[in-house]
Amino acid sequence: MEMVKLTIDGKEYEAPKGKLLIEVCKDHGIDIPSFCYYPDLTPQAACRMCLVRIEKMPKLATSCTVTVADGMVVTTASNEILEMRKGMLDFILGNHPLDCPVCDKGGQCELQDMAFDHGTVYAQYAVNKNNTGEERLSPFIAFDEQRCVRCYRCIRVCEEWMDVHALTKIARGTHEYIGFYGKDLSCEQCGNCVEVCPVGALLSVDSRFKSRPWDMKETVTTCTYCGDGCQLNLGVRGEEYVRAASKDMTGINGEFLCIKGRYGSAFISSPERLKTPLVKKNGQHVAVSWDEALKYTAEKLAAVRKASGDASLAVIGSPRLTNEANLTLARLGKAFGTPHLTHFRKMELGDFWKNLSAPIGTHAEVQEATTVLVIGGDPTEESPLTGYSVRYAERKHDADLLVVHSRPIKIARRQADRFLHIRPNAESAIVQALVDEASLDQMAKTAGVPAADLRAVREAVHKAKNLAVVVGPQVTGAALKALARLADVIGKSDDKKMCFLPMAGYNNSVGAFDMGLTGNAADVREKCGQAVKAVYLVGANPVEQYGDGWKTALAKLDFLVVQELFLTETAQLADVVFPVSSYAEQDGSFTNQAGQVQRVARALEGQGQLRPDWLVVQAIAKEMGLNINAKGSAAALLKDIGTEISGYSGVSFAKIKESNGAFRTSRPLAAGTAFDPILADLRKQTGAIDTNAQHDTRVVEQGEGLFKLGTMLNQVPTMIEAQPFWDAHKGETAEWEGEFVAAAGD
Amino acid sequence: MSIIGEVIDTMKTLAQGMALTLSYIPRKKLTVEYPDVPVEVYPAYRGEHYLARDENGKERCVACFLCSAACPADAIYIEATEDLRDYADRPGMENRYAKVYNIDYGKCILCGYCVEACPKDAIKHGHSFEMAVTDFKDLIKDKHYLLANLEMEKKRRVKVLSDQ
Repeated sequence: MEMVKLTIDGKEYEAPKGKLLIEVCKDHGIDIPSFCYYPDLTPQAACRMCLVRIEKMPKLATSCTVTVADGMVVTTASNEILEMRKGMLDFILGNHPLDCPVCDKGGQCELQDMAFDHGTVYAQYAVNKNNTGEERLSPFIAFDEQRCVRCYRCIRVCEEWMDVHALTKIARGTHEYIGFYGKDLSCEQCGNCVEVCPVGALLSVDSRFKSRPWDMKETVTTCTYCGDGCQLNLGVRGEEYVRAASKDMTGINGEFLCIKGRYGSAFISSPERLKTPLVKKNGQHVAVSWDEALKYTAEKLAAVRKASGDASLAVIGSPRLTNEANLTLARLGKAFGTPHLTHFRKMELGDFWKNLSAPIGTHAEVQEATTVLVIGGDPTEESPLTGYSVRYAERKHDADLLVVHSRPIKIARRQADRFLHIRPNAESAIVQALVDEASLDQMAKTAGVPAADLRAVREAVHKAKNLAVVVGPQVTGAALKALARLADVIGKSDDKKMCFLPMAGYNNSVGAFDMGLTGNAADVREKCGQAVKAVYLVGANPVEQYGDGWKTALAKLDFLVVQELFLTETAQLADVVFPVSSYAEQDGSFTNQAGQVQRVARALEGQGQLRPDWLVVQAIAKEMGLNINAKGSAAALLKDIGTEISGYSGVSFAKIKESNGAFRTSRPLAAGTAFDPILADLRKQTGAIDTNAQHDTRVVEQGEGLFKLGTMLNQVPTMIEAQPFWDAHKGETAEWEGEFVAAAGD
Repeated sequence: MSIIGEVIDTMKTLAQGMALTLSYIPRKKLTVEYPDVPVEVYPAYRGEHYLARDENGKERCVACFLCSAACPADAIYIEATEDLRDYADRPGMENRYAKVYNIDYGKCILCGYCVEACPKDAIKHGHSFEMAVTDFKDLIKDKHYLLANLEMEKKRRVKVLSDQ
């Protein structure tokens, strides 16, 4: 990179050419006040707080729009500039009400700090303030027009980060305010506009008035929803959850969070949480002590094992649990000697790992990619940070974006350079076309896409310099294996980079696999009541999620143990229910879909007699007299993971901290095993596609995945209250983007 | 010394002592006949707090948490809430008001920082010092007690001296 020399405040500095002056100053510790400047957003020069004197320029210049040039001489602090800052603040405060005591931003407000550092005590002019009240834009976001300083961060975040375009500016001059299209704020409700707002103009409704920043204990932890593993700050006051925010910008997600990350954690303080162990006596759950419940469970499990053998026990973990919990569950299963050791999942990652031909990429690597192939899965709705990363690649360096999906998803409608709108369940045909050119024309017919488009996609993928393949859960079986081998098929060379990013679905999908819960859950369901007599089920609700088949299967069992946060439909069937800590109440780690191990930290104690999952499993093993190499802390268990699990070598809490919060696991690449059998399987799979199936032209609605309630979101009051709001907005997405969708659906 | 000398000496000391004692009898008395007579304090005396109301009887406190932030003894606990009704209907001056406002007089050192921090002149020092209780938990005074405290003070055995 070309470097230039410039002088700032009499000192010489070197900086890369083309960098913004304000960024160079910040890099060297020179403070320039600003509102509208925000890293990663387009420059705006609206607040004019960052004015500096540059020699040979007739007027003061905004340092947030000036790029550095050779020989530039800059003054950032002089009487003239200080006077100017005071004047600018005077204008900004012209309409700002002095209502800091009632404003939720008080204590972390950039305008407060600025007025302290640079402002005057008295205004130099007197005009009447625009007197407007506060309004609720949506069930999640409140807006106070008067407090707005017109920095437009929210608008730019909404357009650039989210590609939602919900916010806009209305009217001009001092009467200008931030508004929205339509009757209320119909958007993804990510709350990123609230996060970046420097003042209290945009505020979250769910944490309203609950606390002040100095009154909260904030703990950095990992989100418990999708597989992206965003870092967030859980704010806790006393023993009560207050809010989630991403404040320090050091995590893999920067300041980005989605609706679930930001507003989905209130379930940890829900009164519905289980507080004591429950044992079913005469068909009724009765609260008992831990000792009694553990003893009873151990006796029952031992009895079933003795009567029907090792294989009559099944252990089912969950991609929601920490690595430590899944490790102890795997150890318990092995100590039982049962082959039924599994967890519920959306994607068979085991097949994917075994055939991996290129490394798993982080979100940062996807952001750098020049060609991105999204096949199956909807990043916007299911994995918002992945969606953000794909959009980032498109926005920052116009990456070639290829999307394959059976429905017009948002990223296909709005960003894709090429969108293959395939028949339902025809992802495997596209995969076959990618790995086997001879069958391309036939596969185009099978998938129901124009052959020319498919050929163009194939060429773009094969010629890509820096390719990122985002794989969704719709790619299954042989297609998943074949896709994992893509780098081998394309041929590796030094000037070609390639990475995969599987959209695994849950916060610890990757970890659950890596810890060894690799069995088949459907297999256990088949055998329930016959070969399998007792199930140890942790952190999953198959009855609600996978239908009544599981209800009848679980009812056939002699003994069912469930570890849960709430008395779910599955827990209601259980003979014993153990109340466990949520992710906010325990230490541990999650592995995200990019293969990064991140910390889960204890933010609060929790109410009731809660225990972490791994501790309960170890206690059961102890009661049963099994040695599962029990450890006394999550840290010790993580050390065990570091020595026992391949790819996790050397992992520990300290190592995670050293690697900036995200320890990257390594995965061996497939060593040239035969590709032909996979291809043969793939041909069988594509042969089974129903070529008469109609294309599904229903637009994926905004919020179709994001607003869906599960076990945890069902306990979040704001989410429940928002249901009528979402119902009122159903069907709007197609209306808004009508023309665009018609063109893409052809 | 002879025995007569000792007697004279003792009588002298006794006379001296009695002279001092008797000299106080005509002077102004310092002892306050509390509780029969109220105690006099100066206006700036930092007694038990009260929560003020505005001219229409609305609570001045907007639950901004600044008093609890300023409190060196961590004696103030607040929970804020909102009432979106009009001024006439709601209890507070603003939409935001305190749902819970507790001062723990087991911790409070009556330093007055909270009063200084208050941007709404909602918390003030009263002049009452009668805070003795027979149960620890009674040391925690809630919002209703503190709001009524200004009125209650008139019934207490304390007399505030004028500024002059």
